[in-house]
Amino acid sequence: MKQNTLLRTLVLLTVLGLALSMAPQADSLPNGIIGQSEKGCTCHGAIPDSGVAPSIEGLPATFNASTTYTLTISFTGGPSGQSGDPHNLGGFNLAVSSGILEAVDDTVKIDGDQATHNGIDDDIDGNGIQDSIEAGGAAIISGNDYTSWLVNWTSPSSGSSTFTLAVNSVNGDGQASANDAWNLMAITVAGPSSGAAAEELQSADPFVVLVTLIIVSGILLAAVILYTFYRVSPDGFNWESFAPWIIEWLTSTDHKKVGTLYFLAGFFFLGVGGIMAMLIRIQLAVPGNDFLTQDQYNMFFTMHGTTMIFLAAMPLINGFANWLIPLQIGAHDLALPRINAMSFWLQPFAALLIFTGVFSGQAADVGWTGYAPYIVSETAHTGTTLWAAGQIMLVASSTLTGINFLATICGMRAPGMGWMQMPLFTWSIFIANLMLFLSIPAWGVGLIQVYLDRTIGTAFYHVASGGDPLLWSHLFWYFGHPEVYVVIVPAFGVISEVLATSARRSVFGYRSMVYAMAGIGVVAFIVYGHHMFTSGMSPTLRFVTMLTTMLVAVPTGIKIFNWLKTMHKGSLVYRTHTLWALGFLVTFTLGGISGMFFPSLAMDTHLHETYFVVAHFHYVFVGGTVFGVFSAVYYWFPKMSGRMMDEKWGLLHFLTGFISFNGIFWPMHKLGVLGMARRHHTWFITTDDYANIPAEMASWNLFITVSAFLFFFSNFILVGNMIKTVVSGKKAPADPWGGWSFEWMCASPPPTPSFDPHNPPVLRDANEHIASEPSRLGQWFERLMMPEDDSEVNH
Amino acid sequence: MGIASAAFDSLWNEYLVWSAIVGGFTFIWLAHHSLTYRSKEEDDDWVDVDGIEVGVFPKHNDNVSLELAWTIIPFILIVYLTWISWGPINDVWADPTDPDSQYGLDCTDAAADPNKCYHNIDITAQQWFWSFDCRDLGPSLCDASQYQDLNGTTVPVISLKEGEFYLANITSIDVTHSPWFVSFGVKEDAVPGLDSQVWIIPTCDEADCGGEEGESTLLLCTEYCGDDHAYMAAVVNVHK
Amino acid sequence: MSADYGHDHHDDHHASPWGPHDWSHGAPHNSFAPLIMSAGFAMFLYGFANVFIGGEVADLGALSGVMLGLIIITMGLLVWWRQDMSADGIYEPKATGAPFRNIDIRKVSMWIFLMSEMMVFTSLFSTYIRYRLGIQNCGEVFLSGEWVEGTSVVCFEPAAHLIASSWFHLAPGAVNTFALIISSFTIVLALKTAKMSDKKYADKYEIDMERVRTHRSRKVAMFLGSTLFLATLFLTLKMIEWFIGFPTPGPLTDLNHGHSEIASLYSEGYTIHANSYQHYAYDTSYHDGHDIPHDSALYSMMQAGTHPGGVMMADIRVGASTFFVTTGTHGVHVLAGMIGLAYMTLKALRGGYGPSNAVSIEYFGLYWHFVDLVWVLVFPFFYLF
Repeated sequence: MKQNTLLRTLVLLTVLGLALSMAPQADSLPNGIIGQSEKGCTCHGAIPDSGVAPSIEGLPATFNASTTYTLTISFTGGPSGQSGDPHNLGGFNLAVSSGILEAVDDTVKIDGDQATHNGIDDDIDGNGIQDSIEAGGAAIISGNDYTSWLVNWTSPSSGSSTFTLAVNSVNGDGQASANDAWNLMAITVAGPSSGAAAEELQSADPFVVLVTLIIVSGILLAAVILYTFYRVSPDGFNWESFAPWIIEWLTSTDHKKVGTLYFLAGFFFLGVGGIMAMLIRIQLAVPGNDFLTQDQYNMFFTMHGTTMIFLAAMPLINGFANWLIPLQIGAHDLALPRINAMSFWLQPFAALLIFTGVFSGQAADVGWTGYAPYIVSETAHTGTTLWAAGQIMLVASSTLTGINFLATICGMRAPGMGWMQMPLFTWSIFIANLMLFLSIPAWGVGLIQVYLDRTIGTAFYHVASGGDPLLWSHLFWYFGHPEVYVVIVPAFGVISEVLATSARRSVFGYRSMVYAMAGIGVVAFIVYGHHMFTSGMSPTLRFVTMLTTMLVAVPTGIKIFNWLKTMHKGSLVYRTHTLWALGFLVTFTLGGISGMFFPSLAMDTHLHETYFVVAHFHYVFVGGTVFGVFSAVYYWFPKMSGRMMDEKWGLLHFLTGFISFNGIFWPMHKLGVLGMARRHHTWFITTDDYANIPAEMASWNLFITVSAFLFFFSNFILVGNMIKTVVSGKKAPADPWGGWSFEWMCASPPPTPSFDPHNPPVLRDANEHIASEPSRLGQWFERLMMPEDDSEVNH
Repeated sequence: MGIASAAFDSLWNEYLVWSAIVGGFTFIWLAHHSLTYRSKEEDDDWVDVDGIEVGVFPKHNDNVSLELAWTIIPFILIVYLTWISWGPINDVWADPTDPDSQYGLDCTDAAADPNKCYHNIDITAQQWFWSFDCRDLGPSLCDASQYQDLNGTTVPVISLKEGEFYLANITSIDVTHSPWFVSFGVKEDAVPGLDSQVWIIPTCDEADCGGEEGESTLLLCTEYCGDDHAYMAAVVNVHK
Repeated sequence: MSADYGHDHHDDHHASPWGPHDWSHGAPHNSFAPLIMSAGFAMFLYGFANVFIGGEVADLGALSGVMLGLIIITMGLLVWWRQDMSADGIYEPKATGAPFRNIDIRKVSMWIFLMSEMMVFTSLFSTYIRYRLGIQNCGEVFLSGEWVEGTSVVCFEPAAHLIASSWFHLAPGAVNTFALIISSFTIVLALKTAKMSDKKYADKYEIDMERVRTHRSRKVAMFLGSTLFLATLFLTLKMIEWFIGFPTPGPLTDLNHGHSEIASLYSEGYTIHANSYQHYAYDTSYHDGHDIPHDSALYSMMQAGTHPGGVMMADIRVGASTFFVTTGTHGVHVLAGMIGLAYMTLKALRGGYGPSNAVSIEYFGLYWHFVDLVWVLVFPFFYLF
């Protein structure tokens, strides 16, 4: 037995060592990614110059199907020809969204859906020698020597076609120089209207894919709801009872029903956010991919972030909080049940606003951080306004949730349950809500400012009128950093419960666990500046936040070591929730360690906004929060549904999920260090001329995409397991795992109201002291709160 | 050979070592405990050490000295890591008006030490282009007149001399951008309405610095700025 | 699913989600209000974002969406109130956990809510302080001489410069301050009246015990109604100050430097779109009569002939935005209070408040005092200095 253990330890360490050996190596020389412009212009000069006027002649107002048009492309203005030299006058690039381009003469060459002038230094066969030299040294005809060119365009059978023309006016000295100028124009020509719909279907627009998938998921969700309704009483099934049944769900203020609604919404949006992640990963799988346009990519990563944090992670956490807080503290319901229902219902409608843009193809493209002034600029999509509007509703929702949980936990604990007898999950929800509650108004105000800037035209973030973009960053991160702790701290609570129960021990260092969480809660408010180390914020502030950020590691470390020590001399029973909790310890530790690289300033200037950051926060969001949520699902699902989940499926889910998760995010550390920047819709492997992203990056990105799909599909095992459990799971006992807190005292599933409000349960304490007696400070505070004669109100 | 700057490399290596130590310690502990104390419910060997019972707050399982140990030891490590991170701050934020800083004064300043002085250059960001201005520097020190094709996009080229100090004065005329000198490991946001600065010390990988042509590395935009964010690049050429 | 704890009133009562409710026991009460109100808020925000885009009226037709949103919110509120109208305070959940034991949970919740309200106004004040201190003041820019006629300069123009320049301009704000302070007093009177035990009440007003109920309900409604009136006065004066202005006839004309009316902020040009704001104080010819301070740079420049003088134009959008949004947010809080007061007055008229549930008035009062307190901060920062 002992030897066996040693062997296993060794094997595990070898695997870990192998994993670590994949750590970004310090000897490769990165240089970044470069992109190919969709404008297709290899123009001289940095900025479009309105002095150059491009034109396309020969285009009809609406084109006929499959007809060839001869287009004359020309430009006027700029330095062209001013030197008197008839050579090197200019160039052009014409891109069409549909139809076929053909060259009329030698001055033009065609490359797919683009046409451009024939250059003197062309190398069409790609052998590294200029064609002109190959042709015997004589300069072949150069398209550069003209200011107008002819192109044949054969129209498609239907749809409309967009022509994007870039022209370049050069001064004729044969090389790029500062007074060369260029400009862009775009024109869209409609085709025969009858075939428009067919054309839309033909092009598998990722947007169409997304919208279709969302609708399909919605229909599936509806089907599941109907099926559940059917399952409630298969024998007495009739449609007349459907309306009351659904109204009961729509109007319920029972904490368990609202909690279930949160789960439904949370899992639905976890799926939607996951679909978007997959589309993003398809785009990034190979260099220079054009699966998504930059426009679509920008919308998808914005929606992915917003959806995952606000519409998936938070509702899932709220689902558990709703279900478990009253059960754990022995209350019959939350303090304000109707406000609780309000908190929930604000969310689907907020989601509707946020996603309105997706359905119109103009979703917010500002990133979940929505940095000013881009967020109020006209270049940001119109859906940004509704994105802000939806977020304002989510702020309202979170505020109401905060009031509810803080009041419930402060005021509705069962007799005998002092502050220091609360289950750790309750503590974690308390601290998370306190953080959220005190920070989210700042962001709410920022969002209202943005919303008003974008609607009635206030000028909070209009730089021309003196607006300060950094003000937004401060308001956002004052909320944003506590927010990331808001989603991780409840996972801490879950892991504390699960590990202790699985190891059949009481959690090690209960008090230090509470103080560590409280410490994180306090520190959360003074560290946010580390998101702004390179933002031009005052150096003094940067320095202070560097110091405070370093501190975060201490309470987090305490928690990790306490969890490890909890297992000591315990009897660890391996259930699926245990596995996820152990997996959490691995991934969260890795995420915590990579987090320590950022407060170190000289490193942050390199790592900021790279894939290293992406890797870090996914390790803590997914490896932390989502693994915590999975653990909690397996742990409490029997309590909620009254049926035991399938352990074999659970094991399969854990193995595939855990491995593919690491496959996605571990290599991202490396990509980031080597020079892959975040939020870029594409990346290139260029020639050796630029010490650049090495070729191995391509394989890593492909590997990440494959892992991402594995991870995505592995979660269907969980969904399947849940459905299977509800339909045919074994009946669950009241306390299947051997936990101590009140929820295990109720039947599975618990009754409504969860406890009798007139006869609440009483918590006993295995330790000597009498818990129901508040401490001296508590007594003083109680006297302060309660007037001597409580029939009189002091004013 | 380094990843980015010298400051980055030394910190990076130090951090990697400590990460390996902390991670290794944690994972050995985790692996050991999760295998050693494994039990099956029906096993005889599971013991109910703390007497967990529903509805009863369990017996405290703590050890103050242990808890203090893993408060204090990580704290000491944190203090150490802060300490080693502190030094490079001077490299990042040296005051341009401080003659005693490692960058000295502006070379055009009469009081500047010619062996230890810096050159001012300007970087202006715009959707989705970089514009460099070398001020009055000669082409051997700084040249921004060239453009180059980069995977189909024409991007500006800025040539800098190895071993010189440059102070880039950054601003933006529309939204927030951020120039990332990938090979030098520095970036600073270009915020409209705000003048930010960043120190650049061009370095080469090769001893001869790419010879005549110099070494080309990249500059990328790392603050999301809209559609062509990914195409907003520039080439940084370093020569001897 | 429901378990019987041996108390009859826990039986599933399936009260209509449209209300009214039987409040003699605890949760759950089903309600349509959350669903309806959430839909209304979404509708409102959606419509509003379609009406105005980038400071311009883009689609007036979408106003119907805004109105529809407001109607839906009102419907939700009515459902909510219908359910609450019958709350008589017999079932008032008390906190059980230290250190709030025996305090009404609603009271705990209200204090917690006010914490977040505090953060809302803190954030608004942070914005104000950032811009007030971070952008040069228009008066300073004018005196520095760093401007030329015809080109707009960006500067911070506090509304107080305009408002505090004349007692008449200040009048609406000043009256409002007193209106809010008095309304804080009337709400306390309402609470006191509702809270008095029947016997005490009868003794005090020397009436028969039978008449106490009707007498009290009229009295409470009167105090609540006065509060509502003062709140309405507040918002009316605010509209006058922002958009309408008021005449200063007869002898007031002389006091108002010969002007027969006080223009609103809007017609004075102090708006969120004011990127070429002009004010008589930023006109050197006006200053001929009032003297430009001799120690100012502008004065020396004009003496030396290096500054031609003229009218300074200012881009004051940021300053105006902070003013209108901060005072506007406060105004929305007053409006929310008015909606609550309207309901409470109605409930009081129907005899809804007595000693057993007078605390409802107290808890609303907490909010109302908070709104009052915020105004006491807003007034000096935005109106006086």
